[in-house]
Amino acid sequence: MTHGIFEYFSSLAVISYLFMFLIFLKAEKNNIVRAFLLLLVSMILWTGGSLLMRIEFIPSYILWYHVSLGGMFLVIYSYFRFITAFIGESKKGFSAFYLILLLGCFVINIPSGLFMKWPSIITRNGVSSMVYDEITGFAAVLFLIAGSIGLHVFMMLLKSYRKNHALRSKLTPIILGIIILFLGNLALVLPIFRGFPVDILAGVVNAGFILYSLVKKRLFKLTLMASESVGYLFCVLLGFLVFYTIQPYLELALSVSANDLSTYSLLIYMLTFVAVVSLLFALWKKVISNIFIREEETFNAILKKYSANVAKSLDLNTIFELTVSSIAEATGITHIYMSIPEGAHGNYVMRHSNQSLADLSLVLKKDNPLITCLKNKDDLLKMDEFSHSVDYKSMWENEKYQLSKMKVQYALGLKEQDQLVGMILFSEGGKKQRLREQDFNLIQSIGLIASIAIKNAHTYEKAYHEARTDHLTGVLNRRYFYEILQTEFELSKEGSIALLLVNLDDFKLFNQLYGVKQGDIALKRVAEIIRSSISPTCHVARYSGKEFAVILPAYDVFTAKKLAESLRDQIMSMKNRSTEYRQKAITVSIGISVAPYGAKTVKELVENAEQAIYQIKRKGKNAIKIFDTFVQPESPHDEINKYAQVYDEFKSTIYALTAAIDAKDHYTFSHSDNVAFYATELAKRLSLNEEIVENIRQAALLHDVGKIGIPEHILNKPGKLTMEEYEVMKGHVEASIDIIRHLPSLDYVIPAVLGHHEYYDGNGYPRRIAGDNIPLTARILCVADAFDAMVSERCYKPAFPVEEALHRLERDAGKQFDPVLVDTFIMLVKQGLISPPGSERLKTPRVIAAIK
Amino acid sequence: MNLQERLNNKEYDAIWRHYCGFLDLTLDAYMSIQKRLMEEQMILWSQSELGQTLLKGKTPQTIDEFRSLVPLTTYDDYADVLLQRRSESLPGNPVIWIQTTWEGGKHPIKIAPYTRNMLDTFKTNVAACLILATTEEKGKINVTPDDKLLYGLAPLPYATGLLPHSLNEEIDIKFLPPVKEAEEMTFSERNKLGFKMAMKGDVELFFGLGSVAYAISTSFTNLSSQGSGGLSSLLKCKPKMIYRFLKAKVRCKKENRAITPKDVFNLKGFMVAGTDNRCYKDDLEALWGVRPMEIFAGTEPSLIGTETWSRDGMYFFPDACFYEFITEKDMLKTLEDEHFKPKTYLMDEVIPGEKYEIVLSVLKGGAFARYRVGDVYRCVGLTHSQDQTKIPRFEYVDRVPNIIDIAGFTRISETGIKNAIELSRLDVAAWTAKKTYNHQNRPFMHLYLELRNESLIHQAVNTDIIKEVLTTYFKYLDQDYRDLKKILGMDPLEVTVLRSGTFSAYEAKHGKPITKMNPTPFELGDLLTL
Repeated sequence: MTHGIFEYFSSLAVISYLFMFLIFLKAEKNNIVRAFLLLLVSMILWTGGSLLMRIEFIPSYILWYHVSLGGMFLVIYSYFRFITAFIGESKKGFSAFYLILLLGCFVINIPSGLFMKWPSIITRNGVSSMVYDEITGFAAVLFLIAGSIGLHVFMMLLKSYRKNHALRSKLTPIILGIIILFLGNLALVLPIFRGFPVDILAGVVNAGFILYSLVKKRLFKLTLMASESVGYLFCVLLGFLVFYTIQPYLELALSVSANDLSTYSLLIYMLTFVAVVSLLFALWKKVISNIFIREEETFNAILKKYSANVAKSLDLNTIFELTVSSIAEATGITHIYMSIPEGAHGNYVMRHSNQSLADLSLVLKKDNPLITCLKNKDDLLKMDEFSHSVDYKSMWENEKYQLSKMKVQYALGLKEQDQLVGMILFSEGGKKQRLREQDFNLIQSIGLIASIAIKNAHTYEKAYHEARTDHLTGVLNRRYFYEILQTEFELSKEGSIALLLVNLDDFKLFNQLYGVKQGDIALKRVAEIIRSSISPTCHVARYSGKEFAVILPAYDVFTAKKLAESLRDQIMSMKNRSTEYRQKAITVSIGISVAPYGAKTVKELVENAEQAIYQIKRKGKNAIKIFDTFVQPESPHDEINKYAQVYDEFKSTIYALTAAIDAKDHYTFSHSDNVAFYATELAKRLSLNEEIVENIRQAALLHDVGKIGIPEHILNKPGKLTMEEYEVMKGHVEASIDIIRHLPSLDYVIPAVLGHHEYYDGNGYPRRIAGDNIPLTARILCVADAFDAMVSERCYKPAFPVEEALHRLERDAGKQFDPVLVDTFIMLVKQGLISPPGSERLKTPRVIAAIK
Repeated sequence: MNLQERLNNKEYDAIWRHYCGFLDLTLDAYMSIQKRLMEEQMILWSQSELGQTLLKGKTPQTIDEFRSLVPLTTYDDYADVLLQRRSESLPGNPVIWIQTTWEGGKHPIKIAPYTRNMLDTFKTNVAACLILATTEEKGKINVTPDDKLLYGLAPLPYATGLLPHSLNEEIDIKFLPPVKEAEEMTFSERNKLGFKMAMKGDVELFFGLGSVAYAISTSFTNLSSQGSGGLSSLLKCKPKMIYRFLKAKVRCKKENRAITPKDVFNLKGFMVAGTDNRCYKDDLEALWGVRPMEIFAGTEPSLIGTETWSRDGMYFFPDACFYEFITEKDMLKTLEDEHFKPKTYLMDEVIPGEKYEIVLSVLKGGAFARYRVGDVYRCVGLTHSQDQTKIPRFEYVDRVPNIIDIAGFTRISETGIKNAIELSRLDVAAWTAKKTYNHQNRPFMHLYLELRNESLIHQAVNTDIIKEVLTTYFKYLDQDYRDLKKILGMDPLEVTVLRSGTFSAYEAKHGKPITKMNPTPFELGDLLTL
């Protein structure tokens, strides 16, 4: 029995096609996979039919000829289907047309062999061979049809290759495959390949190239590529081929053997066949278990472990760590990043990486095209493909640069109920270089578990955070402070524990001066300073609106005092760079209590610290108090705020300032003096305490001190001020503040000075605040200031009569002035308690004289 | 492509050029790199809020203008921004914050931001150190990804903890013990496990603080004897290690000496960092059979310099910092007069033999500009025939005189000593402290003091009591001082009580009191002879 090389190669090709077919039969189906399966069937029919025809397999070689020819026609059609599916173009019309055309040709050819007639079998010298008839002109029609479809396919490929850069690398093997297939068939006419089935070999190579493209495109999902049954079939077929090859040699060996073994030949054949198949199957199993199964088992084990560990945790950082470490372990990916939406804006912030020194500064806004794309995508996004999309055009250059620096090549959205709860960004594999389908499957599986875990942990963390932290400053809140203090106190029973209460001095004033927003910024800064000054074993909490509590386990009195001093210095020297103007320095009073030296219980510890604060406040501010030992500050700012002392101390300053006003503009000097008189009288009538009355008097004396800086030609202009001049004039309020703020102990007059041009209805300046938001002292000053301006003679106006002034006050009550104050003021004037200007007006300024 | 990939591809020439190519630079080329990177940094720094604060709104256009506008800075100038980790005010976005103690500062610790670009430079330079530590000649690469490194330094957030993380971005060298585990361990646990692992599977590289490396090495005898205590633990070792250990045991017994690391390990490379390394180098070489190569790094400046295979002076990396130098004379003048503005010199202006205090501007988005880190170097040459270099070479001298650094472990300031004396309630009338070396060439602090006469009547004090009391308070005030004793077993304090009136006599003689920190030998000699 002779064995043609054709038969051998054809068998090998059919087995290869069958193997691919059976594997892909298990794959998750999509258009590409279906088209590829059709292509494989066509190949099997073409090559298998040709093989069976050559060995004249039953029932008739002519039948196998038609099967082979049909397969060939089908190859042309299925190639067209496959390419359109691969490049994502729908050519249904062409597809149907080509199918009908080829089917028609095939059917017409069956009875008469019009296009290509089946060969005849001629036997010469006992050897039969197949001889084809001369090719007729009709065959040229068939070649023309096949060539046209082939050209169409090729043109589509070229077009797609030029247009779609992302697909190029995947199309290259297909184009190469087609070229090889074409060359293989062309080579048949070359004498060198005579007798060698180069076309069949080219077919197998082509199928291999297509398979490579599919793997590269990663558009299908293989559930289990190589099942045991496929393995058995493959081994039996291959065994058959091997047996078929060695059988003649076996027969020869049996025939020449010394013992007559021919009687056992059947048994020997059977045993040999079984041995070959068993050997092949053992080899198959070895390969499968090493390549597919073992890896799958490893992946499953990683997934199982990950799932179990993640389920146990509600800590986001633990989940991030488990996620990236599991992916890195399974796939060898070098760079993995996890990002989740955070804050009120919901922008995506990098939270974790498997690289310990990774730059996690990338923040993607929630309207970032990558985020949008991930929201709409269920599977992995390849950055290369994303970079060729229209959406990519709106990516910022900095974002592109950072992503490329992070080596991000894939992105996976973590979705939970249509909500993108996070994303995993990652690079290619490290040592393995390229990631495979199973790697992506695993990452996606991990992603699914991570999505749920992250959502739960995020919700929990948010609730945990909100329950325990102060919203504004981010430190612990008061409720949690007690919980922590109790725990730390118990733990410190053998050692010591200190508690610091850090109370911001004059914080209400600070808020009045610069507004609540600046006050909040200051609180945050103080919290930051405290937080950055303590070790991780210590805790800081917002104890009240302007008070922080610092729990210091293992601290003694000395170290607690050192820390308190450091805090006080840092807070006092902190600068706010967000404002253009210099703010008044914030000082703090710190009460210290330390157990066991000064407290036996938590309650006592807290009460001691509170008591210490209380004692500081009674005597002044900006100091540190430990138990009964008062630590007096040494810096020049650390004065004791005893009201009378301060007034005495700064009496000369006020006098100096008013003298400066007098030198520059005598009217302003007298005016300030009058306003001080009216305002204090009004304040007294309102039954305000002595301290506030004194405050108002000082504020009135200094309220126009900023006019020192106003050019004289504006200050004394006879006519109406121009808009520009008015703007300059308005600046005197800020200028007054700028002067007063350099006198720290007079800073309490600032709210009154700052607000004396604010209108009750909010149309004043500089802050345009209204109603009760304007400090009472400022509202009082406003009435007194306006009254004196009206009843005084100025270079641009005569003095109004008192009645006219009172009428105007009444008219503007509720607009410019506080109506309650206007009523009281009018009453005071009418009762004669406020001296109107004119004859009764004192020649020597009243208040200034008192100071002197 | 990182070092490992290049090693796998056997691109040895490219490796040398990439990592160690800076050694082939001419001085002009070196300065060109310095100036170009400084221009980049100048723009980043000037545009940042931090820079603007120090520049008071001005924007320098040239490096000379930058040097004239920016004053020499200390950590105080940055404390406000850095201690609160205000990233938005910095020239570059910090990826990690590295910390160290701030002796004498207004805060217990100092922290320094590292940008990703700084870390990229760091990892390239640390790989260069690795290559230079393992090679015996120029151009030869003796590193493999299979190498194991015994690591004797503090973990993150200290600067030394950056090394394993950075190095692992370049090459998969195994650390003994693994970094993640080591970060959770105490110093002693780390060393024990590290040596145990080395005994089991060998070690090729060692990196540590000079003093710590010495402490670890001398304890090897104990560790190894513990490790070989049982047959079972010996059997856990690789056969080659069992063979080496048994061979070493036999040889040492024959030679009647204790087993040393070199008897068991064939180290390829040995790197040391920190101060006072020169006190330990010879001993370490004797113990390991390899001379340690010094590298120079710090919390604020990052990794700035390395020695080479010749172990004969170090070179500054041109891309880590922009270097300026203050002469020793001017440095001492600034210690006396804080308003004195010293002149600075660039790398191409240094003179061999001169001592300089270094001034650094950290490149690649670093926060520090014209920063006085407090280290003194001596220029030992402008070229080197063995290294075939044409750039200045330096050796580390010590910290600036107003800080006493003991074995790279603790830095004692004048305030620290003052606090300890105050807390001790000893009636000290005057004192001066000097860093000195004992007969074994080990550093210690020698405190000379004088007690008030009246206290001597009421208090029982002698030198031992004073030393004991002061040691207690140094330990109380300074964690590092505590560790010095605990880890290195060192007693770094010597006390000498001087006769009453000595300090006032000195003041009367010289018209000024003696320098409190590190007086010159002449000043001290004069004091002691009064």
